[in-house]
Amino acid sequence: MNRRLIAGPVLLLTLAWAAVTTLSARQTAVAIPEPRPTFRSGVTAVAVDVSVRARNNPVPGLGAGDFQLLDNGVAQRIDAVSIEPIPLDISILLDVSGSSYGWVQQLERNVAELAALLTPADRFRVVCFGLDVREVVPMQSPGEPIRLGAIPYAGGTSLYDALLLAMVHDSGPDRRHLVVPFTDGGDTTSILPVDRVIDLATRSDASVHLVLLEPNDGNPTLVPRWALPVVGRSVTSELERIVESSGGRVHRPLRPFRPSVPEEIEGVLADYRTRYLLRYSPAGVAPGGWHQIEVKVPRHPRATIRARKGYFGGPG
Amino acid sequence: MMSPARVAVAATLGAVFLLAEPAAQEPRVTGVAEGFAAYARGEFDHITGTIGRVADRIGFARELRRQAPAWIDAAGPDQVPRRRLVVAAVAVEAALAMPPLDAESAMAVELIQWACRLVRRNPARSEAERLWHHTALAVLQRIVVFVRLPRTYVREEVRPHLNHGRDRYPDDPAWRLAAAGWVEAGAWYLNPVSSRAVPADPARQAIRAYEKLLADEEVGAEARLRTGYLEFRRGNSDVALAHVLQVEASSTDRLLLYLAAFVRGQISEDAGRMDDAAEAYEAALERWPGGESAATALTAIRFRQERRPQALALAELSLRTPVREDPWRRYGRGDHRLPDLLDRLRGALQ
Repeated sequence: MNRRLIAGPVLLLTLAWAAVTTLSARQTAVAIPEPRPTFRSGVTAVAVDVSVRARNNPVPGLGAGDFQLLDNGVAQRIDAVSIEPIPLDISILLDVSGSSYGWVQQLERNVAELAALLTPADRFRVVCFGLDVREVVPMQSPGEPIRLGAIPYAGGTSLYDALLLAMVHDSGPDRRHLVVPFTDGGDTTSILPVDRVIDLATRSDASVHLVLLEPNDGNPTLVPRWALPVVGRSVTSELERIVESSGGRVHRPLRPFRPSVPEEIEGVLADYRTRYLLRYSPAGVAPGGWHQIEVKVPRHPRATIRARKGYFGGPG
Repeated sequence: MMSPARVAVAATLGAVFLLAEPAAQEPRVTGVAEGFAAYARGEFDHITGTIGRVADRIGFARELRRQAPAWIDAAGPDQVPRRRLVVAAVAVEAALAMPPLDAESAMAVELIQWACRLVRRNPARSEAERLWHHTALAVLQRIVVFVRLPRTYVREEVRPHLNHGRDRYPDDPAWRLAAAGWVEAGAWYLNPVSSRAVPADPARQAIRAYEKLLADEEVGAEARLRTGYLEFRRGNSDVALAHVLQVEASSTDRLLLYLAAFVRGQISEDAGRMDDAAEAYEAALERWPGGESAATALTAIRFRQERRPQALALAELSLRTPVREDPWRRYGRGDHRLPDLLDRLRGALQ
């Protein structure tokens, strides 16, 4: 597809991953720029970003007739399908809390490993989170030197806050945004409760692909073992809910006690560069509220299909 | 086979290495005594720079204790009290710079205990010593709560220091606030900020202690704020809001005003009043520009309201603005005033 077309208003809508309805948010006084006019047009158009993989390889050559799409259970007519290489923006999140202190040098190497998997058109940044959340490398191309500088260590883990602050990043209409946290999964100091982050992950354009490191093993951590049932157990399921809400996955390194970039991440990057974009105008469903989406490819019943679980169509 | 000339060169190099070996075995930590002197002159970056370059922080702490007596006694008797305080302040800086690991944290606690014994040997109490005790307590709170040393450690290591401070300065209401704060910290322990639940007993105990301080001119406003926040976490939002609004109306402390506005935002959010919450977080950011906690909370609201450019601007503010430590993230463990205390301690030593 001609890249120039992406600048068109409909694709602006679709790549921004938005179900667009009339903007109704109240404007209150704050010294922050107001929304850009581009994708607030009152048009109702929806894009669904779909990965179709068979035996871990993308399934090529699918057209509109190959997909079945249900919006709140109602079958929709797909107006267009496109597949093309799209550059990526990667937000790498490094857990530098007390429980991860021992493997920080390894995490720094992981940044270089991940950057090496990127193409020249991709970009990445590095955000560290412990008690505070700080961007230590601004968005840059993979060819530039990586200067992590001084990493701010402090007790506490504000993982959920870090996820939100990273997911908010606006990659623009012609890029895709992936958030890749390396963490043992514990959260002790976030301001945002987990259900809020799940909601925001659903609304975000970003997909979260989380590299889950084993807590309290193979590194001189300070999480005492008696605390693990409290700190370590439930967080995984909470994290999985956040990650799945964003359309991403949880990955575990081959050697869990040595942080590394899981091999499947390379496939994930390729996958996001070649995803299908399905565009449709919802019919037969109320425009507002939560729209649950289901996508099927009947011709490939064993294929793994990943797509967002839905979108908000504005006030219900 | 090696030529005679090469053998001679190799032998010479070997001799050079052998001769050089004793130098390589010198103590890994140097510059401690120079650090004391520089600190006494007000060159605080000297010691923080020295500590920053030392990989073996435990070794630095041991060396600090080993060299301190000679440096203290090298001056005349009239200088000894001040020198003890200088050494104790350097010990606090070294404890603060310890990595969050078991052995290093244990050494940090030990170092503060040692410095506490040192300053209590001074016959006369001083403002600098009072500030040292408060700074040391804040460092202990930072080390003990969030690196999760076992609970027994908490009781054994922090409580005595609270008592030492109170014994030396019985009229200082800040010690009563700190003691109640330590009970409150127990209510937060292993209860993430993002969960609303709070253990009932420590919360009740802390509120009872705070209530006795509400009328105090110096610490009453913080006691009221803390009462308000605990009431909020216990589910008594109306009571909480009344306390918080009173703090906002009466205090001039910028840090407390930020915290009060932030807590008001949390109360409003919990009640589903998102516009009120956003207004509270904006007020907090006016009082403490770049405050990460308020910026994060406001980012979430704006994002949910589909005001994405505003959310993005706030997120970037939070991620990229190098501000002093965010007060809210440290409020629970009670060391939110540590940067200010350290500045004041350094000033009092001059």
